[in-house]
Amino acid sequence: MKSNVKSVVVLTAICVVVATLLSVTNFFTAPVIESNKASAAYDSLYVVMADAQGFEDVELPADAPETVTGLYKETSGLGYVATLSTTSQYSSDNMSITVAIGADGTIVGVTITGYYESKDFGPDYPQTYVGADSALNGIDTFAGVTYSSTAFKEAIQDAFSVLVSSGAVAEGQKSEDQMVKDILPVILPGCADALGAAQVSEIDPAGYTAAYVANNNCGYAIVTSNDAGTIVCVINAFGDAKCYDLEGNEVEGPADEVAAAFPSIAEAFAQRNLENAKKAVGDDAVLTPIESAPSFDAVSGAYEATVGDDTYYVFNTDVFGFNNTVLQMAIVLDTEGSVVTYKPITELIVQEEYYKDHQLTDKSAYVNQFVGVNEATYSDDITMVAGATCTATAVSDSIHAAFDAFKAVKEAQ
Amino acid sequence: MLKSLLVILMSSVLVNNYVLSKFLGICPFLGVSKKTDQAVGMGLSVIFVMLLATLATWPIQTFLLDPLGLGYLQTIVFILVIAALVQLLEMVLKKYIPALYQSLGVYLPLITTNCAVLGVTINNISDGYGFVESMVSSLGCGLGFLLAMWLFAGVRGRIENSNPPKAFQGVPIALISASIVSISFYGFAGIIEKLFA
Amino acid sequence: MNKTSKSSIFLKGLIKENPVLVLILGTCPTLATTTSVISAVAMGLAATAVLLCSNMVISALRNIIPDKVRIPCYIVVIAGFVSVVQMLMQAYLPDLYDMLGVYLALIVVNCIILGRAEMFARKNNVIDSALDGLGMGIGFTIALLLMATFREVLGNGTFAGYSIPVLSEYNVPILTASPGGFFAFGCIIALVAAITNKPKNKIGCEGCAAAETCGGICPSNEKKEDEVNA
Repeated sequence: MKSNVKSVVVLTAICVVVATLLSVTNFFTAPVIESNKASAAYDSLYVVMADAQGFEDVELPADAPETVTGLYKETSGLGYVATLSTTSQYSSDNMSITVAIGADGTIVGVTITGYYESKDFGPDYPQTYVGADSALNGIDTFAGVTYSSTAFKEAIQDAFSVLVSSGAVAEGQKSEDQMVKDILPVILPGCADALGAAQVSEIDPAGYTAAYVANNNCGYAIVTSNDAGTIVCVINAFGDAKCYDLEGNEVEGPADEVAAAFPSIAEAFAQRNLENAKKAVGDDAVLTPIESAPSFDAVSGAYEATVGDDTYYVFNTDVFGFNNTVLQMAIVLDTEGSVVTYKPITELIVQEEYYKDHQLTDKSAYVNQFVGVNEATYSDDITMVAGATCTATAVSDSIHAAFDAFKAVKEAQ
Repeated sequence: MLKSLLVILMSSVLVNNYVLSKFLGICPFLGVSKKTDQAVGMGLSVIFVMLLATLATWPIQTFLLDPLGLGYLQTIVFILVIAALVQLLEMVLKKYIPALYQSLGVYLPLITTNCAVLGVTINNISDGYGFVESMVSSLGCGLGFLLAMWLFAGVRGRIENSNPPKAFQGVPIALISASIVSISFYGFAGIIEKLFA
Repeated sequence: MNKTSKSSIFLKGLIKENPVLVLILGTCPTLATTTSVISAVAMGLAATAVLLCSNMVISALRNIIPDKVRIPCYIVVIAGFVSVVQMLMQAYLPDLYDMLGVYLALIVVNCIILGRAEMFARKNNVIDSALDGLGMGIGFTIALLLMATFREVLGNGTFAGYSIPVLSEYNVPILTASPGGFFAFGCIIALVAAITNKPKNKIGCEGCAAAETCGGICPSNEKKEDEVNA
């Protein structure tokens, strides 16, 4: 009995001593462990916000874009850090981005984590975003790496949208330049590339505030102002013009005046367009240039063609293909608007697009699919080329441009 | 729910086999696997103790240690609970189910210091499993242990009749054979996700 | 006790009675933590620290602890030191802590530690027990280092993370995976057996606290090792 009591007492005593020892150790190590854990979880966040004191999780709103994977608030009020994950068309990996947005609503740091893309835009491009607010004034996608840089830009915009809509940071004011760039693809759809960004170059403004020519020569955009404020006038290849305010609403403006101030593109390219049109419709056709077609799509020239007793319309389209190379096509429509001939003038698939295997081996069979198709029966299914998405999009764009121009010509008559 | 439980069960039996992939419970694996019936007896005891230990330690961790902020006592509490459980089990079996004690009881003292049992209880907590998941994972680990023991006992039987180089006799050749058995389990990696994806 | 025997207490753990290579104890950590030299050395040193402390404490309390409850007492003491090591590593060496994972907590059931308590510390004075613990711990560490070197150099072409020319291009990755662990351990024990000319027929149970109870099951009911009685 006595030995039993002793056993229990000794065992209990040892337990108590050990437990005390452990609690003392814990007292000293617990804070260290705690701070280790905290800093480990937020390690990657300090990269973009070096002055941060600490971070705490912010719950994402239910309607947050799925690109935004995490949102953290800097505890001393410096701002927010968002982690983003986006897919880009040229990589099977997601691109992971960590971006720090200061309390004033401007980007203080941004870094790409875990993105191994051979056509990477390099470490400098993300840094061009530093200092920008939610308007991202003056920030373009990266030429040659359009898909990845567009995905990057959209992810950053998603991060801003979450912070702005929750009232965490103030929305940035878009500069006038940026607003013009934003509405250009809408009011001059011909200059939009596959990703919907305007591909234009600045030219001599000829007395106006600014002037741009579309890189595929489908028209001009002129920025000017009147009593109502800044207006943007677009001129298509035939010299037809329309004016818009910065919201994208059509307004009265000096449309005819600006149209007269810039040379007609259709005339400037008349020789080239005529040759290309003949390639599509045949040398013996009689081609009469159409002087006016109020279509603002990617059409640089249009002809009425007479072959014997038949009348056709030939449209020269200039659309952006792979890497924004301009692809020229000549499309022949009959008087009902159905495709008679679809003639690619330039190589359909740019050499670099062989990045992936594509299925476009029989080019004539591919273009022959379009014969007999009209605007009502056309669907993007027939233009799809697996592995050559850019070309397929360009072909689709060119057909849409031809249909649009055809409608405009018919209306003008 | 059922699917995720099945994934836990299958992966702990095949992919993350405690003996062959995580190296837990090697001593009994090498020591008590010379005869198939011994191996199975040991394996069954381990399953039983693992389930019992999880039944006891999961609530202790969740309802006692975590709320009181005593997570640092985990190791010491768990090993004591397991030791006490095994003692208790031995006494109960001896007194009330002597037949079972005859077949399993002899293995029980070995199990206190079997790292697989302590390992599974700690892993259940650190993997963040709920109670049902913990029990399923314990069952899976136990079954995996039994499977490894049983398979290896068969292999051991063959080794006994073979004549390896002198230096390899005994433990070394057993380890090399274990390596080959382990390779066959290595092949299961990735199968579970594909199977239930 | 004279000086020679003190050094022999320390030295026997290194080679003659190396717990892993000769007694074949502590096989679980030997297999599990030797995928890299760094984790092996970390494991070895953590176990050495626990072994040293527990041996000293158990030896100091050897006249107080009743025989009946000695095993639970040893377990409490060992688990206590393991927890301390766990907490310290988690606080100051978090990378190694994550690397060792559950195996750090499992030092509690490492039969070397309980075995030395049962076999040596409870019968010897504190200084001898400390020497014994240190020797055994360093022996354990050396064995782990040997295993890990074999596996990491050939399996990954690196040593402690540093790439080795040529070997890093021609490595055998399976050595760092689980089958490689068994294989490497088998080869090393065979090597030791060949050198000492003593085949390893038995798994080491003599250090196992439960050895007495396993009776006929444990294959190793051969004579217990000679004790150095106080």
